Amino acid sequence: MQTTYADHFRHGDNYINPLPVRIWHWVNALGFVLLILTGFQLRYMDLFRLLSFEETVKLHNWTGFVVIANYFIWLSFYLFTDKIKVYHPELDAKKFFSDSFRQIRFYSYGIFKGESSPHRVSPYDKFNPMQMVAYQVMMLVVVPIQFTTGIMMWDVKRFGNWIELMGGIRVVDTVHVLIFILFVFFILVHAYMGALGQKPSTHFKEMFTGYEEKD
Amino acid sequence: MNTKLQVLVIDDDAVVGRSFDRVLSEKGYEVSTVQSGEEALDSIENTKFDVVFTDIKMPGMDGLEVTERIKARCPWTPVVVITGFGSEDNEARASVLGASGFVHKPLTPEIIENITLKALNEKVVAEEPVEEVGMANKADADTAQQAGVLRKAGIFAKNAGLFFAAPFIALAYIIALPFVGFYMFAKLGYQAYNKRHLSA
Amino acid sequence: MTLQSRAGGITGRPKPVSAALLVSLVILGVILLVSPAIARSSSEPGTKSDSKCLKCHSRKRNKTLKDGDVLSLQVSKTEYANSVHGDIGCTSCHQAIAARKHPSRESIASKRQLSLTLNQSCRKCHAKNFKVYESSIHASLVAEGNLMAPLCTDCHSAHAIESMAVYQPVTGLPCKKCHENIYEAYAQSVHGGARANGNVIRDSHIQAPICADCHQAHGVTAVAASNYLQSTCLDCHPDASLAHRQWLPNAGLHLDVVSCAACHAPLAERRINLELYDNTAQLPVGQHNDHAQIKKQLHAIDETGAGLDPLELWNLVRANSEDGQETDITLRGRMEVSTGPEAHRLAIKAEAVRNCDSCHHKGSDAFQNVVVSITRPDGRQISYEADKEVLSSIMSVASVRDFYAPGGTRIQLLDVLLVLSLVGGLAIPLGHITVGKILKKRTKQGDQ
Repeated sequence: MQTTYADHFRHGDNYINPLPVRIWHWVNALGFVLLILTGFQLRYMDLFRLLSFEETVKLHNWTGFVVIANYFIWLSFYLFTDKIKVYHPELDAKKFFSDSFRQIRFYSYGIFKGESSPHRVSPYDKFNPMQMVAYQVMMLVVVPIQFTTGIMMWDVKRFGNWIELMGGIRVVDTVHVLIFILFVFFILVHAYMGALGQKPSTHFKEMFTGYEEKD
Repeated sequence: MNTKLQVLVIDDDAVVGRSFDRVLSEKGYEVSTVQSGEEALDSIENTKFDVVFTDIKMPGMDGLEVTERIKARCPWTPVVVITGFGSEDNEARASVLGASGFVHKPLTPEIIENITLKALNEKVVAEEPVEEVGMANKADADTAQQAGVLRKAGIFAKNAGLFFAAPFIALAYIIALPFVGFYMFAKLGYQAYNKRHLSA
Repeated sequence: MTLQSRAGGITGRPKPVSAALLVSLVILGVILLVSPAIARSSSEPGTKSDSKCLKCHSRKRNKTLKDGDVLSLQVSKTEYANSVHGDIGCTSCHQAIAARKHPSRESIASKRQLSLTLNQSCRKCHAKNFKVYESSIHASLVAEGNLMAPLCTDCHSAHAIESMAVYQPVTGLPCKKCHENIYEAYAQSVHGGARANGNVIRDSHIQAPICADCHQAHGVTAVAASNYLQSTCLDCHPDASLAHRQWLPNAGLHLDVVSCAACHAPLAERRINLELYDNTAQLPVGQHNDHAQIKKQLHAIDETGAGLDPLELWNLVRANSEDGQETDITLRGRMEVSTGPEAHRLAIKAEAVRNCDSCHHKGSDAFQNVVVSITRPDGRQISYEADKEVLSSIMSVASVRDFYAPGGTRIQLLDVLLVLSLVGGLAIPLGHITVGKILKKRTKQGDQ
C-alpha cells in the first residue's frame, strides 16, 4: 500500500530522512569508521598491528572509493530534489545568530531542565542553525578536500602535477591528516549528539526509519 | 509528461473551482479542483503544481493549515488564499505561513487570470522576469511549455547556487559567531550594570 | 645447487655443427695460414724496430726518478708479444722516443707523471672510448689531482694489454684493485654467485653482470648521478616494473624514490638522501651553482656542527631560494643504502624486502640516517649529516615537502593534535553528561 505524504501528517509523523539519505548516511558512517580505523593503523604501525601495512592500504583505498561513490548519491539526491532547501544558507544573519545562541543555550542549559529543542525538525528544515553550518562546511568543503587529497595519494605519480600545485606530497598528506583528526573529533561528538533527542534513541530511529516520532 | 502549467484550486464550494477551470483551461492551464485540505495534500503528492489557490473557511482542515502544509511540502509553490471576508487578521496569518497573495471574492475572469499570472511571475521573478511576463501574457500552450522548462532550469540554478554558496556563508558565520557572542554578552552585562546602577 | 647444474647443462650441451659453419671454418683456417701478421703465434713482437727496443728493454734496467722512486724499464717480451698491441710497434705509443735522442738524460718527475703523459697516446686510436673515459668519474678524479684515480694503463696495464672480457669476470680485476670491499660484497651477491657459477639468464646467453655491465666500462659514473643505475637494473629485468605494479601501491613512485638495493639488499643499512634540487631549472642545485660555496654555506648554517636540525634545514632551503629570486628550491628525497659495498650485496628475489611495514612505521631503520646532499657537476654528491628529526618536524611541510612516507615520517605535532581531538571528542560528551547529572541533583535538592 502506498502511503502518501498526507498519511504521515494524519499519523502525526514527520518524514525527515528519505531513503537515499538514509542509505547514504549509514554507508558513509560505516565507511568513515573503517577509514578512521585503517587511518590509525597506517599511521601508527609502531603502536599496534592488527593488519599489515599492505592490507591496510588496500582496505583504506577501497573503502575510500566506496565512500566517494556514496557521496555522489548524497549530492545527486539533494541537487535534484527540492530537499536541497535543507542545505540552503540562512541569509538572515540576525536570525542565524539569535537562533544559534538559543540552540547553544539549549544544549548547555535547557536540555538539563527538560526543555525541548528550540528547533523544530521538519522535512525542509531539518537542521538547527549550528548543525546547518557544520554540515554545509563538512559536506561541501571538508569532505571533498579529503577525497581529493586521498585520491592524490592513491596514485602519487599520476596526480604529480596536482600535488605539485598544492605544494608537495607532504602538504597534501598534512591536509589529509588534519581533516582525519577533525573527523575523529566529529564522529565522537556526532554520535553523542545523536543521542540527545527526546529519547536517546530518537535520532537513531529517525535515521533508520526516516520518520521523526512525535510524542 | 504534461507540460501545461498546473493549477490546483481548493474550495469546499465547487462552483469556485469550476469558474477557475473555465477561465484558465482556455488559457492553456491544467486546472485540478478539490473540495478539502486532505484531498489537496493527496493531490500535491502526485502532481507538481505551479500555483495553488485555497479558500480559508472550509470544513476540516482550514485554508491556513493547508497553506502551511503545502509550503512545508513544496516551499517553491506559490499559494494564493481566496477569502470571502478579507479580514486583516487572516491575511496576516496567511502571510506568515507563506501565502504569496490574496484574492477576494467575488471573482471575475479578469481577476482570476491576473492573480494567476501575478503568482507565477512572482515565483520566477528572480530569474527572467521580463521574458516570463511576455510569455505568460500570450498564455498559449507552447509558451507555457517553454516557460515551464525555463522556470525549472531557473529554480535548479537558484537552488544549486544557494547550495554551493552555503558553506562559504557558513564559514563566515562560524568565524563571526564567537565575536557576535562576545558582543551580546558584553551588551547584556552592560544593560544589567546600567539597570542596577540606575535602580541604586 | 639445482640452478647451477641446470644452467651448466644448457651451456654444455653439444650443438649440431652445420655444413656452412664447417666450410667457413676451413676458409678462416686458410686465411690464418696465409697471413703471417694475423697468424702471429710466436712470442716475437711484430716490427723490426721493436726487436731493437727490446734488445735493451728486455733486460733488467732501472731508472731513478726525480721523486726518488725507481722505475723499471724492463718489458716482458712474451707478454708484450701476446698482448693485443703486440704488433703495433713500441713507437706507436712511445712517440716521443722516436723523435728525440734515446736513451735521453731527461729526468722523469714521477711514475704518475709519466703515465699521465703517455695516457694521451691511447686517444690516438681509441678516441671514442677515450672520450667516454674523459666524462667518467675516474677522469674527473684524475683531473682533481687524485693520485689513486685510474688512467688507461691502471686498468689495462701498460704492455700486457688484454681484452677486458678475458680476465675481469673471474678475478674482479681491475676494479677490485681499488674497490676491493665492493667486489667482495658483489662476489657474495646473487649476481656474483651466478657469474662465478657461469649461470646464464634464463634461456639466453647473457651471463650475470660483472662490474662494467652495470657501471659502464669507460664512462663509469658516480652512483648518485640520475636514475642511470636503476635503468641498468631494468635493462636485464624488464618485467620488474610490471611485477612491482602488481602488488606495490604507488609502484611507480616507489621505483623512483627507493633505490633497488634498498629492498633487494635486505641486510644493508638504509638512509634517506635529501638532494638539494632546483625545481625551476630541473637540475640538482650544485650542478649549475657553485657547489663549493653551497658546502661552505652548509657549514655556516649548521651552527652546532651536529648535523642540520629542522630549522637549519629550512634555512638552507630558504637561503638558496632567495638567491635565485624566482627559483623554486626543494629537497628531493630518496631512500638508498648507506654504503657502496652494501649496495652490491643484492640478494635473491625471495630474500628482498617485501613487507611494507619494514619502512612504513615510525622508528624504521630506514629513517634513522638522513643526509642532505649537493650534486656536483660530475655527479658525485657531497653529503652532509642531518638530524632525523628533519623528517618528522612540522617544518618538514615547508622544507621536505616532496618526501613523505606514510607511517614512517609522520609529523609529531599532528600526533599531539590527534590526541587532543580524541581527548576532546571524549571529554565533551563526558563533560556534558556530568554537568547534566550535577544539575539534576541540584534541582532535586532544591525541590526538597
